Amino acid sequence: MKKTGLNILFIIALSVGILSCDTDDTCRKSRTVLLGMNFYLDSINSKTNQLVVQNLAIDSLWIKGEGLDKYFYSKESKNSVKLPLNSFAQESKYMMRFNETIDTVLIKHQNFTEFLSLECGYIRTHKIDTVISTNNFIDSISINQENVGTIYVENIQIHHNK
Amino acid sequence: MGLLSSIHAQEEVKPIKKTVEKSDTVKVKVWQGFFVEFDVAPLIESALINKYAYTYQGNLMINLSNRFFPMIEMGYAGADKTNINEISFKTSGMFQKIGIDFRLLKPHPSATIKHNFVLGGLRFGMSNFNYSINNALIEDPYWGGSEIINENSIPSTKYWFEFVAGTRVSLYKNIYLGWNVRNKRLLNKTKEGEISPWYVPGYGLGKSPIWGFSYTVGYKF
Repeated sequence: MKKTGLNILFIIALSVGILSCDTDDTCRKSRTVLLGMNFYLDSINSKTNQLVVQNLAIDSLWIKGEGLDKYFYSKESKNSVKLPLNSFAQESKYMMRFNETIDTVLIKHQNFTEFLSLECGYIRTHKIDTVISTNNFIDSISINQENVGTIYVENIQIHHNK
Repeated sequence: MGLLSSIHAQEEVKPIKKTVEKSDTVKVKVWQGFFVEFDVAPLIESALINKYAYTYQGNLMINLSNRFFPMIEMGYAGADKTNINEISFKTSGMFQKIGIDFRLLKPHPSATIKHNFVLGGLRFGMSNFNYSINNALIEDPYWGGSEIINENSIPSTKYWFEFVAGTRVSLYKNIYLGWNVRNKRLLNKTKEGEISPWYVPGYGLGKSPIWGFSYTVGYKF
């Protein structure tokens, strides 16, 4: 191989070497762990007499953690919400106001510490054990996916009967 | 008589032919010596670019027939890094690599220096080490509460492959300079959420694949 060819190869290799040394402190992974909750309207089709399940949009939704002052959702129109579970307790209790009707939802869960990277640090993920609620607006509640992580999934379904 | 003399002539020619064949064959001894090398690229990198990491690496490379170059690379490396979130990482440990380089280009017959090599090869690396991650803060911005996680002396063993391409050039008599570029790939990857080292001694940043560069100064024995 000619000297010029080797020189070009050397410069390319040196550049690759310098670029490979680059360390970036920026966290590029999601650190947000939120529970996904969707609302459904259950009704019976009078003609077929079969159960019909539809997405339900709440006109005025208020949600806050019990014992806290700060609302996570405040007078918002939503058919689904994303809620944070308590990272340092085994249960999270929410006060949920659907228009004018108030319900309390208690979610019992386990917490897990997960390492993302040196740049991102650690996060707490959760596994839902049980969900209990009052039944003023809510008619039934079910766990669709028990694991709560950084990827959004529908964890809980809240059903309201027509 | 004429027939007899022609047979004699044939018998006499045969040994001459054999001697000609022998003189045309260039026999290269299998054992061509060995190189002892030191990698200076990490020293430059530590001084100028990544002051958090250091590597001291020595190589032993055997030259077989000027074509095959089995080698052992050994060293000691470590890192001490605190990121912008004040999370600190510390590690140090020995590493070993074993592999072989192959001569990729035959020297030109008219070349005056025949012992310059363009090489390509493979390495298999291993490092057994401990590492620490300290001052990692977990906060719950909505419900409140925080915790600082300190994990010390976490044992780890990492294995990896390296694809290597580079050169060895005779600088003066038996002193050789060499450089190579390396594509490194970790063999044991960590599962999502599992704690893993940010830096692996002998490999570099704990991502896969990564690129690396070596610049060696060596002596041929």
